[in-house]
Amino acid sequence: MTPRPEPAEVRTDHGTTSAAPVGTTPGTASAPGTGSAPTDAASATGTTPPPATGPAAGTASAPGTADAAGPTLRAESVVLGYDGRTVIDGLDLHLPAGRITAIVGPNACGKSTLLRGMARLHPLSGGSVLLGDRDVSTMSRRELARAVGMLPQSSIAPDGVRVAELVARGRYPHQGWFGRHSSDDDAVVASALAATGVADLADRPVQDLSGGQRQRVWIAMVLAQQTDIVLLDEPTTFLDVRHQLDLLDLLTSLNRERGTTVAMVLHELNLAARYADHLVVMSAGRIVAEGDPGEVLTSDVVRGAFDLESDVVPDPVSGTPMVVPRGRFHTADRATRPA
Amino acid sequence: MTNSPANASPLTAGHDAIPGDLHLAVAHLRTTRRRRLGLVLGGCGAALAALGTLGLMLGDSTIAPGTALLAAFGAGDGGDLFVVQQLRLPRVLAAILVGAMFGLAGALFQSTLRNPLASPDILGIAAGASLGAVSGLLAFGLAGIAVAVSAFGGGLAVALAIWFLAWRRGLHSIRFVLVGVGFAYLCQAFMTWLLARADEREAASALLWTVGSVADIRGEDLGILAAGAAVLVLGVMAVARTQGPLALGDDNARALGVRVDAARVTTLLLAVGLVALATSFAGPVAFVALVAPAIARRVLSDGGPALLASTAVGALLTLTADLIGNHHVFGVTAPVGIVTGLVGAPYLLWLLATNERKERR
Repeated sequence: MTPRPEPAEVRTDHGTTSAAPVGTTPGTASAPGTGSAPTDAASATGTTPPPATGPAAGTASAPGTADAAGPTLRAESVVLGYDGRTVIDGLDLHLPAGRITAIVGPNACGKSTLLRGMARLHPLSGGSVLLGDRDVSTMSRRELARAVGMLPQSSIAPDGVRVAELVARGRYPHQGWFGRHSSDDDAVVASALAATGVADLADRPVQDLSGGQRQRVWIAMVLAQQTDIVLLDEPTTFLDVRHQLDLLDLLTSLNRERGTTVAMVLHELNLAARYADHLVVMSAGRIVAEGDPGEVLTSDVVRGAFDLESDVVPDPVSGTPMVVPRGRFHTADRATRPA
Repeated sequence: MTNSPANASPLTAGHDAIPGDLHLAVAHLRTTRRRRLGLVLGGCGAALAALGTLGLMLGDSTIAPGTALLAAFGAGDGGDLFVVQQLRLPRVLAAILVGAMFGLAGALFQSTLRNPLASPDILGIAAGASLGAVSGLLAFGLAGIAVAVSAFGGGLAVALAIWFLAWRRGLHSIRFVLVGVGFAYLCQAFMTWLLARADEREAASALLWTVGSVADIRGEDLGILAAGAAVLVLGVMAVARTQGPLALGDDNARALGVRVDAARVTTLLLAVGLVALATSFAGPVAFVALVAPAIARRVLSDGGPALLASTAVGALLTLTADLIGNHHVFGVTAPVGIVTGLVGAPYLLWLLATNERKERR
């Protein structure tokens, strides 16, 4: 399992462009039978030099190179709703393989519903979700669970469950009917614990952990599922800013080192713009803008989606767009306020 | 926690640390958990053997342990052999079997519905099964396995009624439990009515189904009970694995590849089947299905559904309660259901008192 090459053209601002680690992943590599066609395809692209490596590529996102990386997940004119009320009516979304996609939008715009629909947690009223060229509704749940991991908003840690035990439940789709945990499973669990930095908590009851630690444990569980695609529904909610950054750094590491395709619903616009390769802005069940955050996140888009006046300035740390909202009060210079 | 500088990712650091140690540590944790389960099951087994032997020894005439055990396996002379084979051994086995069935059913209900209060006692499913058995006996003159089928119908009817009235609004809601309590009362009322209008002799035998007793299960009945339980347990083995993911929430379970609705319906049908079958022979042995899984989960404390341990603890509880009730420990002779009720009711009160605190996670 060779990591995919860094999508360098999008990362020029970070200064860590060439720092993509080129180590193998021992934990996952030692589990035979887990790597399937998608990962083989990934390693195949790893051997050929990526065509677009020049930093001059600038802000242009290059879906062409990403497509070769592994199976892509995409929604085609999906219709989603609750109890006859349609929330999303005919929406297309393509999650670029090997990239981080962030979906943002105001409350109740359907962003979580969309993600849940793509993970088959919410039934489609129309359209289809495709993994590669396969309609996911034709796959068994187990089969899908080996390809797409999903961390939903509401996760329940049973009373008394230990960290390692919870993470081990991520192995479920890989085990047979009367499946027992094997030594291979232990290796994958160990790898997931290490990757998320919770190895030293392995024997602790999950309910004793802090919110940030707990969220890492849940992500470790999804990692133990060993999927090429990981979806997360508001993974940073309820975390303080420090732990939000920790978590997004962690997801970025996974993306860069394992080539995992990450798609998540986020609330915090500026962090979304900073961490996403591909930003999707939704409003009222539709995608109003998507693409490179630097191009997508403008004050017009923010106004259209959130009904909010804002200045968009470069993030002094990352250079990505930073939305500075304007309210009715506390504007320093009345003259600069838009009419 | 991880105060790594921005450019040294925790992922890389972790990978360096993985190989031997952590792998071994994870394997060790898993072995420890399995050993703990082994200890609990072994302990329950030893206690069951000891108490079972005691059950064979005690009675109107006390039999020495060696003689009693030999008699249990068919060796010995006339009097003791008859008492042990025909009276005491069936009762001990029935207590173990019925207790195991209630314990397992309770664990299935509680884990698949993610609610420690969701036991067949509280939800009225045991009462529904009782009502099914009593009405089958008194109103339709059924006997044998037909009573079990009637009990299953009663339990299933209550389960379905709860489904339509409460489950859809959330498995955790207090409404869910309250609707069940309502059905329990309704079934009790119908049962009292049936008993009141029955003739005295019939009513006396049917009264069993209001308290729960393992005193009169022997011979063919015991065989039917054991065979039915074996079939249901086979089914349980097929769904047992889904209980771990299900405990994490429906979304998580689906994301892990569980067909949640199918798994839950199958599990509940099997659990209703266990309760109905046990109830049709022994009546509603109160609170075993509520308490046994709670004890088992606490002893194991691994966050798992504790199906095996609940089965063992249920058997142990019921055998203990039957010995206590049968041998004047508190100066009276009482059917097993009354003893388990005395133990279980305080636990239920404690659970209700502490449950709300837990819900505010």
